[in-house]
Amino acid sequence: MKSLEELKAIKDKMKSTIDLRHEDPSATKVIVSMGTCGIASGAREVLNAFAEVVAEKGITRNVMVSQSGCIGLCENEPVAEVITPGKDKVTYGKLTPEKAREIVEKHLIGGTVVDEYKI
Amino acid sequence: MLCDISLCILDIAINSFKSGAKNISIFLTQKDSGVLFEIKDDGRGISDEMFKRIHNNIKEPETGASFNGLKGLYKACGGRVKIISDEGVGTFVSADFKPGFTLGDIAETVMCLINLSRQSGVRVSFFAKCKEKSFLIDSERLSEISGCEKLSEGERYAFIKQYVSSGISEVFVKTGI
Repeated sequence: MKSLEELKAIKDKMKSTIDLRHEDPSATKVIVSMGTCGIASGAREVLNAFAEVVAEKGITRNVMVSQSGCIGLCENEPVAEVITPGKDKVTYGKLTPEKAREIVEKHLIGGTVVDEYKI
Repeated sequence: MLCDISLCILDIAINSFKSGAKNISIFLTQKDSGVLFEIKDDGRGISDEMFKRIHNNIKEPETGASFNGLKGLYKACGGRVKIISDEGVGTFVSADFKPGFTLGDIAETVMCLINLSRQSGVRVSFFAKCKEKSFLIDSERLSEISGCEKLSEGERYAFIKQYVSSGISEVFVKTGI
């Protein structure tokens, strides 16, 4: 029987391995704002569309799709930020699943920011 | 204001992700008396002080304790919310919705949780039950359901999406929702 301290140490160790596994510094991050305001505006469908198209294109090793809380741009929800190492962060707003697909194809794969949806 | 149960579940589950949980379990049971939703996580929990502030309806998104959506929903549907939390141990939230409140797109919410689980390493299990029918999906056992065949990432995603969507629609099929 392990003591509570030992169990806690194991938990902390596991946590750091999990964190390491998912932190690829060269990966592009797509962060969908999932505060209540985002969820109410359709962030769920947008996040799923990003994840689906990224899988479809076979680029899950290079692109991470994750969530953040409300970033204070509620009137532009659903909002997503694209963070590519070494480049300026791009924030897209008023997204739809269709726009998410376009962003994956043009921005993440093609390397061209979709100015039309930028905020 | 979130307009259905599926969005409410997602809103609450996002709090569990933010709380640093490594395991999140969700149970959704539909009965004649309404829908029971329960979520349990092993995140950082809520301190007594924070608990009081939640009751005062003060939103604290950073702590993963923004239950305003749930409380608002409750007022509207006449259900009850129970929150049990221990700092450093985790949080349990249960909510029962009276009949007539729409379930919304549960499959879309489950896919969203699976997508988030994949990136964060958080294990998510989701159990849905209605009368004798039930459906369970566990993010750690997804490789089992996509079989041994060598699927591409896109095919694997499509397979899981189909699995979730047919599983959920089978459970809630006779309820007219």
